[in-house]
Amino acid sequence: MPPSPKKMSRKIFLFKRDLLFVYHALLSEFLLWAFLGFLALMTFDTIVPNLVSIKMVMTLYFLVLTAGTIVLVFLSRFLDISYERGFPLQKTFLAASYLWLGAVMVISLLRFPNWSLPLFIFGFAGVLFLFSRVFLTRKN
Amino acid sequence: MVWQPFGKHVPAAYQTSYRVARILLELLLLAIAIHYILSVIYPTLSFSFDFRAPNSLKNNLDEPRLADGSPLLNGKVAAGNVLFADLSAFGNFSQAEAEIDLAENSDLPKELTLSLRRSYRSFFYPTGEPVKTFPQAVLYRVSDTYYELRENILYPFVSAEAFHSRYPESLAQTSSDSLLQKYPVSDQWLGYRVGSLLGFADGVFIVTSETEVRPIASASIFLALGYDFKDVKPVSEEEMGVYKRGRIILRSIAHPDGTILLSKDDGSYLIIENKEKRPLLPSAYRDFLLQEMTPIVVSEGEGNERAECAFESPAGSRKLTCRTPLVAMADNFGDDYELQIKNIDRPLSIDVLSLSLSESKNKENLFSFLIDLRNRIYSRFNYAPQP
Repeated sequence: MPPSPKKMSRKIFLFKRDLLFVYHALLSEFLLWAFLGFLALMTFDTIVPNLVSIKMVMTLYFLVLTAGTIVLVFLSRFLDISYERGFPLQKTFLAASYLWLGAVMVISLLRFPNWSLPLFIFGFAGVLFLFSRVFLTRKN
Repeated sequence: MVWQPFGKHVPAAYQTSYRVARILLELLLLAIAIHYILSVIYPTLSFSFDFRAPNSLKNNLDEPRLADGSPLLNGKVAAGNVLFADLSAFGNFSQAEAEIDLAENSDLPKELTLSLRRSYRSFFYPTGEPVKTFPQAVLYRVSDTYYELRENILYPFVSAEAFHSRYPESLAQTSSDSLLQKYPVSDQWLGYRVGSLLGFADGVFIVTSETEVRPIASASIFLALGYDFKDVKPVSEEEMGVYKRGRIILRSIAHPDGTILLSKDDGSYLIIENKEKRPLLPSAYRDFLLQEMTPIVVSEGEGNERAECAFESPAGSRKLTCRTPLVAMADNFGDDYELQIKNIDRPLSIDVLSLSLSESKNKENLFSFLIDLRNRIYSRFNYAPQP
C-alpha cells in the first residue's frame, strides 16, 4: 500500500531537513577557511599596502563573509544546533589573537603623527569593547 | 583521525556524502587559493578602452589617437590610418594578448596587425630641434634674492637653491636695491627647474610645471621611472609652498619637461621639452644640467624593437584577437608600451580595444616578485629600498 500524502510530505521534509545538516556543516567549514583567509589577506595588506587590495575588493569579500554568517546563524536556529562555548587551546588561541591584533595595529599606525596614536588606540579599543558587549555577553 | 569539527550533527545516512562533499569543498578552496597566489606572483594586467564610453574611468589605455596625433574617441579609423595608444605596466611580461570588439556596422578587416614597443613614454616623443644654450633669461641678484625679469616684471626665486637648479651663479647680474624701484616685483615666486625631484617630509615629488608638483606613490615607481635617489633635493615648507600639489603618480607617466635622457647606443643626450625629445648638444648648458640630474638611460635600438602579430577572428565573429611574445623586449629600459594597430585595409569602427600582459611562471619572475616584495616591506618600515 502506497504511503499517504501526509506521510510522503513528512518524509520529504525529513529528507530535506537531513540535507540541511550537511549544508550547515559545509557552510561552517567554508566560513572557517574564508575567515582565516580574510585574516591572512588583511595581514598581508597591512604589511605591504595594496599587495592584496589592488587585485581584490576586500569589502566585497567581507560582505560575502557577513552574508554567509547570517545564513549560518539562521540555519543553526532552524536546525536547533548550538555549540558549546570554549574549545581546546582556547587560552593559547586568544593570546595569539591579541598578539596579532597588537602587531597589526602597530604596523597600521606607523606613518601617523604621534599625537593621533592615542586617539586611534582608544577609539579602536572602545569599539572593540562595545562589540564584545553586544555580541559576547551571555543573556540571562 | 580526520579533523571534523562540524560534521557531528550530520545524520549517519549522510556521513559518506558529507565526507565526499567536504573533500570537494576543500579541494575547491585550495584551488582558489593557489590560483589567487599565482595571480599575485605572476600577474596578468588588463588594459582597455571602450569607445562607446570614452569618458569612463574604467578606460586605462591612455591617449588613443591617430597617426597625426589627433585623439580618437569614437573608435572610427579610416583605411590606411594607424591607431596608437599607450599603457604602463611594471613587470617582466612575457606575452601580450590583444582583442578588438568591432561595432555591428563595422567592416571586417582582411588583415590587421598589432605592433608593440617598449621604452619610456617620453622616449616615444618625436625628435625636435637640438638645444645648446640656457633658456633666454635676464637674471639679477639683489642681496640674497635672485630675480628673473620677464616682460618688465621681476619674478623672485623662492630660494638660492631654486635659482641654482636652473642657472649657474655667473648668469645673475649683481644689482642694488634700486632695481626693485625700477621694476615691479611679482608676488608669484619661481621655484625649482621643471623636471627636478624634490624631497619633502616622507615623500618625493616631481616638478611637473612652474606651478605644480606631483607626489610619487612608492619607491618602486620612482625607480621604474629611471630616477636616482641621489638627485632628490630636500626642500623646505616655504619652497614647497610655491607649488600646488597635483595627482599622485601611481604608475608610470611621461617624464615631464626638463628630464634628461642618455642614449646608451651612441652616448648622446636628449632633453624633454613640449612633448619632444631634443638632442642636448655638448655645451656649458649640458654640463650644468648633468651636474643637476643623473640622466635616464634609454636605447634607440630597444625603443624600435617591436612585437607584432596578425589579428584573427573565428568565422562570423566580430571579435578579433592576437597574441605575441614579449621576450625580446624583456630587458628594455622603461615600463611603458606603445600600442599600434596598423595595416588597416578598410574603415573600422571599434567598440572596445583591450590588451592584457601576462608573466611566465618561471623562476626569474618568482625571484623578481620576491625582491619587489622585500623592497616594499623595507619601504613600509622606512628602510632604503635595494634596487
